[in-house]
Amino acid sequence: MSGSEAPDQVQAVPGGNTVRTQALNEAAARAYSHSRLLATRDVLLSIFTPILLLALWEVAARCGWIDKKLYTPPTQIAVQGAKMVSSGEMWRNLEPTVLRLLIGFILGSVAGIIAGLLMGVSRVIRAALGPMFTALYALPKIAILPLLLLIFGLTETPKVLSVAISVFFILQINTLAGVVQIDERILEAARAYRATGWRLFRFVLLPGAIPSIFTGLQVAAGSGVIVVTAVEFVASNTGLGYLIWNSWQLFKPAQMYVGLIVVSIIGALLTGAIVLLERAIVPWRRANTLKRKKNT
Amino acid sequence: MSLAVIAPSGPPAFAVEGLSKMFSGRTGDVLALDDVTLELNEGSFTCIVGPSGCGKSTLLRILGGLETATLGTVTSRLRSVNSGLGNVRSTPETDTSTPKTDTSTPKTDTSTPKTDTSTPRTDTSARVAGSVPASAFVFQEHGVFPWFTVLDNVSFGIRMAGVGKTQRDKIARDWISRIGLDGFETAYPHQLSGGMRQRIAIARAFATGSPCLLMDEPLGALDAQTRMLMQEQLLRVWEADRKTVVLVTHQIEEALLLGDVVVIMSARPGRVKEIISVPFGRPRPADLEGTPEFAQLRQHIWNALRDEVRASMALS
Repeated sequence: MSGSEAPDQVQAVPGGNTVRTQALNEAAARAYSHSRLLATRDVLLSIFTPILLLALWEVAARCGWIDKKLYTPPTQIAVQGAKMVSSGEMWRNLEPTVLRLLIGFILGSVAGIIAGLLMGVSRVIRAALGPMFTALYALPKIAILPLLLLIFGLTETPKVLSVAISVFFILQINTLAGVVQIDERILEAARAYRATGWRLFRFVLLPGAIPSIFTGLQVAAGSGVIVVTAVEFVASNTGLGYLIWNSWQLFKPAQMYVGLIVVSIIGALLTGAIVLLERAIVPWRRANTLKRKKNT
Repeated sequence: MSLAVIAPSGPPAFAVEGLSKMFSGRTGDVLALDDVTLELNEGSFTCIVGPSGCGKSTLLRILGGLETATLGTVTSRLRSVNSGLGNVRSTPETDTSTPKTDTSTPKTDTSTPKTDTSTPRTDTSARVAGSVPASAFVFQEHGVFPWFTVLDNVSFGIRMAGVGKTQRDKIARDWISRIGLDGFETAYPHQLSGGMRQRIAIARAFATGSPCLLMDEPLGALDAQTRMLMQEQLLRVWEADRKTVVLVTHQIEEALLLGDVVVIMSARPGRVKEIISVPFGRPRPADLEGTPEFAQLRQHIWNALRDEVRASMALS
């Protein structure tokens, strides 16, 4: 007889119950290991599916099923990438893109969060700026690049500003929504306990809006990558966007693929960093949402 | 109609006189409360029952200063615990601010944050908004802050009152243990059951040390069994402390089990229909609900309520 994991029950109910406890433990362990197995399978699938597709691509290109010139086989893309890294061409284009993206992203999101919070807190500011921002949000941010070029010339400023502006609106909207959507019952409780002014903001409004702010940051990360690439297509002779565009003009598909891959890696890394940051500062959201109430 | 109230005698904690509340909106005016007159003694446990929409929550919110009366007065003799200024926050016209000498703060409550006058942050500005309010609210579990741990939730009220961290942690831990949530100090509300979240809301109110607790259907969202356990727990905690409690409920049994006084309100517009003194002694016996007296009283209240509930159903 084992059952050392539940000595109380063994003593309280002698005999057959120990057997039952053991059976119970074993069944629970089986169920657990089964769920672990499924989780492992999910991870393996997520890794091997793209690898399989790449292998198919490679085989298809080498066997001539698809045009090798247009669909450069993955191994050749990798070789091209390695070449570009060692020649320094990669870094020459990676650095300006990352800088434009990060500076624009940080400027835009800080400004957007501040604007959203101010609009969330002050009815006057919300009334004054809300409709205007909504109208401006609908404007494609790329469309104002010519204007920015006109004003600032062919410098870094219009590129960074394009990113910042597109990020700004996303963050402003998400932050404002986060503040406005805080549960009325939470605000009532805060009011009943005399949370006012700065403390209301610090302990109630800000934490209440933070999940929504992080959603905005994630959306804005994708949007920022799009805008920085598009801007570099037309108004730059450095950066990954320029590299991709240039590869088209010079018909260098391998180089174009390298550019595309690096751009998507940048986007994934930025999004990943935001997710990690969210986990670090929003510990209460691990189960995502509060349980809904059952009745009223 | 008798306004006499048995139960712990003493000065009235609240005197409500001719209170009316009108809500104005685009769809017209709604008279929520009509000429409510009521006296609540200090240290008494009052339960308000009535059909839904009869304005009982509004009455509670006016008592606690979350809402202002359209007409009539609420005089509160309770004062803020640590300001010493009679800093009652209720309707403006009612703030009698009598610097009375009789100490209404419960002496038995060791957790009353007396020492916090030493904290440097309780300056004049903190006193206006920051003293421990005369009454603390218990809402349903949804009023618990999802971004705070149990400890931070329970200490929220005293934190807003400017109590220092060491002191408020001590008070909060004491209350967490009293409501049986030991070991959950660092848990977040979403990790807890509805009953546990409700206990957080109750502990948060008690922890403020406010002499009066205003509870708005605090157990309404709980299942029947949890609710019964919570009623017992609430009684135990209250009997050790004897704060003035006003509890809004839609359950007649709950009102009789917990209260010294049951106020029956009419359908909208809410008026006081009847005030019943509950004759059962304290601590309430465990088998109270099985006694014929209990059944009789419950029947009596239901008879009084039935027409009102019918009327309120016709209204909505």
